[in-house]
Amino acid sequence: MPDAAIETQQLSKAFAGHMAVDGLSLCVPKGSVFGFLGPNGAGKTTTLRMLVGLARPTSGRATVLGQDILRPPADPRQSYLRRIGFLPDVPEFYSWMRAGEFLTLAGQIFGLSGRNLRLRVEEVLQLTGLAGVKTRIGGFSRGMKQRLGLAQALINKPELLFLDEPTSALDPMGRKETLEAIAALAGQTTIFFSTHILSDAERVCDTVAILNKGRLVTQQSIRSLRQSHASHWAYLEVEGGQDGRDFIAAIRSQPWVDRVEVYQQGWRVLPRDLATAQHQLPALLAAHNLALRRFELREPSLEDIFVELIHGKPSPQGVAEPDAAGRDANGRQEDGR
Amino acid sequence: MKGQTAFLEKEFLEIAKTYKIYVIPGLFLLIGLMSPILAKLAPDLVKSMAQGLTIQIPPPVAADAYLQLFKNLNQLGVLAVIFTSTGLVAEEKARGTAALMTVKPLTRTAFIVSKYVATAVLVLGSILLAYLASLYYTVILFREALFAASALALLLASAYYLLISAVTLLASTLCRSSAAAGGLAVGAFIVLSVLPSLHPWLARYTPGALVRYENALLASGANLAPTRAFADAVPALGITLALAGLMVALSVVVFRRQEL
Repeated sequence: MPDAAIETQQLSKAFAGHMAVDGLSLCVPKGSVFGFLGPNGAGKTTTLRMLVGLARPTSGRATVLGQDILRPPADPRQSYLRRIGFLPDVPEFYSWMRAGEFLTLAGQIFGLSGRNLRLRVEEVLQLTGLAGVKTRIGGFSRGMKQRLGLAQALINKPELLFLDEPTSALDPMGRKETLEAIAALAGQTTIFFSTHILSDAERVCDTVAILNKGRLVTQQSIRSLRQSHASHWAYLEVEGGQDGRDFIAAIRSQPWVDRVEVYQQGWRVLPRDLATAQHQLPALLAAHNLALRRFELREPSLEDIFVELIHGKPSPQGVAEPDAAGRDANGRQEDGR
Repeated sequence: MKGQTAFLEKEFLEIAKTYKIYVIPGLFLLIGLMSPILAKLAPDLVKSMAQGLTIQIPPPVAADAYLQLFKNLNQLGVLAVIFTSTGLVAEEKARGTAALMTVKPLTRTAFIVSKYVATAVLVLGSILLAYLASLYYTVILFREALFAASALALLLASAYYLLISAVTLLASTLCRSSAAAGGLAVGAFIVLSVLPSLHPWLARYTPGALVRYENALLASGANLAPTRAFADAVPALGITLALAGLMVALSVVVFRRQEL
């Protein structure tokens, strides 16, 4: 792809005989907000560290903003490092400095000076909610350090932003603000964003890659991922609570039902064939003379898909065909779960 | 280039804003002040402790004050420099600040060189402070400056300190923790100190020999022939400075290959 911000081919990293990243081939389109997902220890941080030049791949290759990461240009001023921003998972700073001082240093390293530098420092302080904070960084909370980490990553108006678990240390407010800041950057900046918090990825990412044990499980747009993996399901509650044994038995015997889970207040029905289920469920309810209190048709969350991909089926599809119609998606659902 | 000087500025600011600004110059000033006084009082102290015995001790002279100064500098001073510098690179690696800075267009070479330059300026300034304090008290207490000999000895000590700083920088670059770096640097210091006693050739040309040349210079000072004593020291001086440069270059090479 010519318009890739990041492209890796068979990128691998071994540590003492164990493959932290194993043959990873990724393509991050320019302008995308790319979620890099995986459980803890999947190899997300190692991949990021290779892409920003902090760790050397054992094998494979990668280009970032068109530059081979293993062949830096002779003139360091041409390096892609000038055009990226990086927020490590646990950012640390010089504790004797204040936020503005650190950002000034970061800006100077990028060649900013004078009025431009002062304005940019003020701008990123505002953006990350650190304006007016006068304490030394040594007294910062983890959340404040995370914000300062984001601020320093933005100081050079990067074309490509690497964020390693930017929200995991934050309280709900800080998390919301950080996600909003990321969403605001979308469009101007390509964002490569690793996380194990799926709802965060769901909120801001357009494309995701899922990594498990160093290997790529899938890479596709959130939309096609939703359509190709994990099924829709219905949640229903009836008046009178749980006295619908006949009803459950009847549902379970239907060919379009995969399984039924019984909850405190109601049932979760996982259909094999969603369209039929949508027609037949109300009919069955009426036939058993049950009054409906709640009926919800739910799309699979990224969490459902994630669990399915990581723990469920052994060999998921690599890249799904885009734009398959949503209601056909459950056709893939297999028995034996 | 601007970015590289910004990082050097940060190194100086760090020294000024942390404990280092008090510890190193403070300790060196104390060494500088105390050495002539100790030299002056030493015979009286010995006599007072050896009551009843008659001990013949020649009256102390200016050279004794400087011998005391350089002895302290070459032991206590060196150890203080090692222990305050072991974190230079190791701590930035352990905390992750080294990674945060070097993913920016700050070259790893500039990172290491800035650290060395800032440390060298701090250390050389501190020795000069110690020397000036000693010079002042020596003149007051002994009515003699031995200026040429002591200044040339200071030059040799400065070269030795440049090497010690470079060795500590390399240890700090090689190790992941400040403690390990400290152990490695002290080990290197012990080796440097022991080498001259192993072979006459080593006694002439290794950095540890500079300590002996300093003593020889001060002894010669009374006979007004310090330049000849200094000429003997020139090869060891050159070797020491070359080694210091080599250690800094090695630190750069090692750091450039490291994963942060």
